[in-house]
Amino acid sequence: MIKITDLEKYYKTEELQTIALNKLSFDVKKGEFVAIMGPSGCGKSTLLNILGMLDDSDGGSFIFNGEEVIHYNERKRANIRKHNIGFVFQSFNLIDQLTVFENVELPLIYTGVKKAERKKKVHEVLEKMQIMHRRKHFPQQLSGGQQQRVAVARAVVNNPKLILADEPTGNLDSSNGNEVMDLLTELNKQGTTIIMVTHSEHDAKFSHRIIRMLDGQKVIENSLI
Amino acid sequence: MKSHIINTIIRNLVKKKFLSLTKILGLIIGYSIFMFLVVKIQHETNYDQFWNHSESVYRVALDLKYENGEQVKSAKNFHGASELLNLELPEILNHCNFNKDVVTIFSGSTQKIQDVDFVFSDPSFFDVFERKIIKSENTGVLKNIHGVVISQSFAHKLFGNENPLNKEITVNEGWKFVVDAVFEDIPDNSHLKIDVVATYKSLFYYMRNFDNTRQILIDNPNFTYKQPDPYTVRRWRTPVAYRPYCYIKLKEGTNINTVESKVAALLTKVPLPQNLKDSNMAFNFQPIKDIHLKSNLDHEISANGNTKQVLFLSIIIFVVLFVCAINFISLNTISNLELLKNYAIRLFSGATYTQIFQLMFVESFLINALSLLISLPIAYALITTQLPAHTIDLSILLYVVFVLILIAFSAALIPFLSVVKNRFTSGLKIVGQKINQNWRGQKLMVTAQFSITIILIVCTIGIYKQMQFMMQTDLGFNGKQTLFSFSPMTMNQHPDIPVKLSTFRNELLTLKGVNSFSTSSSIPGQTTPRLNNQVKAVHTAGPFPATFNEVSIDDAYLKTYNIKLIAGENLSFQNDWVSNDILINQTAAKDMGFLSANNAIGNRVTLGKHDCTIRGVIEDYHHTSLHNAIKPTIYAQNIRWDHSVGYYSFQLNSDNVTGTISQITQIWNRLYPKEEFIYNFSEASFASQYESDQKFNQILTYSACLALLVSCLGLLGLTLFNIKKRLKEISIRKVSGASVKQIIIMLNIDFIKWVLVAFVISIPISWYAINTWLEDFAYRTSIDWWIFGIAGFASILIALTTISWQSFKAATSNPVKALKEE
Repeated sequence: MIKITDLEKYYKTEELQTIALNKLSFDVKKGEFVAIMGPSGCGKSTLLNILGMLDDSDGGSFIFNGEEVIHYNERKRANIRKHNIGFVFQSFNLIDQLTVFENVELPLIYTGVKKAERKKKVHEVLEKMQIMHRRKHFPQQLSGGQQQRVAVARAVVNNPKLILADEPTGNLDSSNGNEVMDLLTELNKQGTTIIMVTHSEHDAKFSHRIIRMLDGQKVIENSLI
Repeated sequence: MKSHIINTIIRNLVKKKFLSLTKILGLIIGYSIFMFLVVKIQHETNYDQFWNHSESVYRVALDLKYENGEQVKSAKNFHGASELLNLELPEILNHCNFNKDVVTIFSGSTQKIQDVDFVFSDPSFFDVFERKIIKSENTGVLKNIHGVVISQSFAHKLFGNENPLNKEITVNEGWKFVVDAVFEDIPDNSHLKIDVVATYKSLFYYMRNFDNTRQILIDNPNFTYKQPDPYTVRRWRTPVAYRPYCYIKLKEGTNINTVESKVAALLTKVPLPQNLKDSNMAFNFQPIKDIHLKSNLDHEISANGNTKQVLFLSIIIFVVLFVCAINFISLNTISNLELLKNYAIRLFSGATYTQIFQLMFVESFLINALSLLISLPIAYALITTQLPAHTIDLSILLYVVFVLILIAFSAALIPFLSVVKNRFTSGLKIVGQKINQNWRGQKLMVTAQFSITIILIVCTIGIYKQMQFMMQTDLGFNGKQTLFSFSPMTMNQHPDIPVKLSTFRNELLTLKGVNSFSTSSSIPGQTTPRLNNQVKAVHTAGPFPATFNEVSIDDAYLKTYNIKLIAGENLSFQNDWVSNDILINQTAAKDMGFLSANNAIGNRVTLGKHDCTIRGVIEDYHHTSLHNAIKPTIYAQNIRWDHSVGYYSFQLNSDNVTGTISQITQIWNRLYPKEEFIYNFSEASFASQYESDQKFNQILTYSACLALLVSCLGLLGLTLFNIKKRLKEISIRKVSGASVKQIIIMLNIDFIKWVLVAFVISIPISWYAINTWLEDFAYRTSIDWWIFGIAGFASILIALTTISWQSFKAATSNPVKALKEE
């Protein structure tokens, strides 16, 4: 599903150039659950940005579903993104002014799904995440675990082929964290590819494969299956 | 999607109540002032555009240039002018002359209306000034020698809902006319204010056949009216007081330059009197649409508008709207900065930048539309304080909607480009980490807002200073405790005038409360319609190189108005109120070439047919407002007021003014039983000349205050935003030992320095603006440095007060709380 080869990314300031990704190569197959680990500043978030087609790379190749997307413009990338990729963040990133229902509905609006269809899909996913009863609440009225479940619901409502998760349990206690990991595992079992950045060895164990990074490079890869 | 956007917008507004209110309030102020001033300007600039073929109608004004450099530019012209053009030039479709008088009209035994605008004109009046006409079946329009045509509103005033046709009216209690027709009102925005129209033929018939003593019109079947003939000298020698206003209407497609180029040749065909032959006479063709704003000639039919004031109003509209728009844009930008995270989430959820911009635009548009809705009744209330409601032209809504879209679009585009568009390149960072919420533009916005505000404040103070200057300047006369009334209309041209006047005066002077009584053809604060450029020293050939104002007065005029005599003696009382003695003012003495006031005494000058002796020289005083320079004036002792209105003035002592007025009224009622005693205070009447200046100053003051309010609201919004952003920094500084005072200074200085920059920018601009405005006054105040000082100091003080409370709150908040939240 994903194949990156010699991916490079530099951050330049007036005085110095920092290498964020240094000729990074790996691939992820459809239906895989991959964890990316490494110390702060090793390039994990940069990698996730590029995989999410939110940021440009400075060199190398990025093939998504058989298409070379590295030189695609913003419009094309946005189009691939909204139909294929869902995001889950450490800080949930829900819009405070929207209800649970409206937050989950957001990706469907931008992919042009009709209102009745949206309602059905949102209800389905909220049921699945067991937060249907909270659909009229605003994010600040929910616990951290519930907020992250809403965020996951939003990420999956469009049936994306790929979920990019950036430390999804980082702001949760262990029991809520485990619930979220169970959700991701369940989604993966249903066929969704998941790439997750994490600091937690415990969470990484839910994945099929761990890619460990240092200074923008892959240093080791452990298969867990 | 739509309901989703609207839900989001409403929740955003509710969540940030203060910021939303600030935004909306600023816009309401902006839209209200915008609509009010646009309607006012539209009213001023649309004068006389409603006439059919208004582009073809011209007033033929008179330009005389004498060899000595003396120039006369008069709105009036000789009767022969338009008649000659009409006869000689095929390009002219119609023409008419008219003379205007202000009269009292009576109908029935009780109904009486004063200050009626009455014109005598040619039968072609309504061919030039086309109006819908409802006619009587018996006669045509302006064909009956006893007939008049009256305006709809005047008909209603006089007869209520009754049919006005064939009803009788009496002019000044003597001349009786019948209403032959009613014409559709001339709209307010015309330089012509006319209630009644009659013909010149009627004028001559009544003048010749009305017996003033018996107050009856003698039937004269032999009366013949000589058709006007411009080829006779009498059509070219009428004194200015009797000259008409002349209008022509061109045939379609005619260029006025064609007409203009033929005038010089035409004038050689008529027997002009010598003084006109020597004067390089020319006609000034004024498009009727331009008269109100662009014409500022002598003898204008009514007070005209002023292009400069319209220009200033336009500038005020622009700057106030600019301040309000900047306020909205800047507050909208900071509120969008706080929503950055939401936009990022939307982008990750599949939104495009266009959709984000759409959301921002719809929000901005809806807030503007809401503000506009609220401002509609406010603007309506403001407009109707100065103009009748029917003058509101609905086309103004087009301008408003255009402005609304422009502001809404800019207020979405600027934050979109400056804070949204460029920040998402770092992708997930934006939602994962703290967002950079700096926005450089806000300093620029504060500077622009305050520059404009300070300019408005400086202009307001400057204009206020000029108003004070005008009120406090020693005018050279004293109108305190002085009443005036029009001389009784019934006395115009009446043979009993001197006798009745003497009786009136003698009875008045027996009253304890009356210090003096005087009658004159003009009083301070009123125009001096008689001009004379033919005044000459007795036995000399040529006139003095000046145009003199002529005012008829009596011996008590100087005493009544406390005017100082600086040489010679006052006029002495005459039983018949007439003598060949005159007084002149200092300027006239100078213009007559006398080295000192004393040198003038005893000299004789020719005024028309009379040789008069200069008995005294009076100190120059301001007969009209300080807009005008003091003119050379001759004060003659005669009560020949011609057809114009004269004045009675009464100087009272301070005891029991009300009682004295009622005593005067009793005497008046006994001597002039059919006329009401209507009086005014001279001081108030003089001050009323500044009404338009005061109105302008009022508009400017309100605009400046509102601009300051909006600027402060904007500043408050920005301060709140910045303080919120810096809470952690403030807490760390406090923990590190900074005092409350140090923190307040730190926070305040950030904005105050931009207000200071605004102050520096505003000084030259406001100096220029105020100087330009003052050019309109012959006597003006100085522009002192302290005006700028006060404006700058006030702005900084108000800005400081606005932000200090917030700074103080931030500086005294618990640092632990802020750090914990971080």
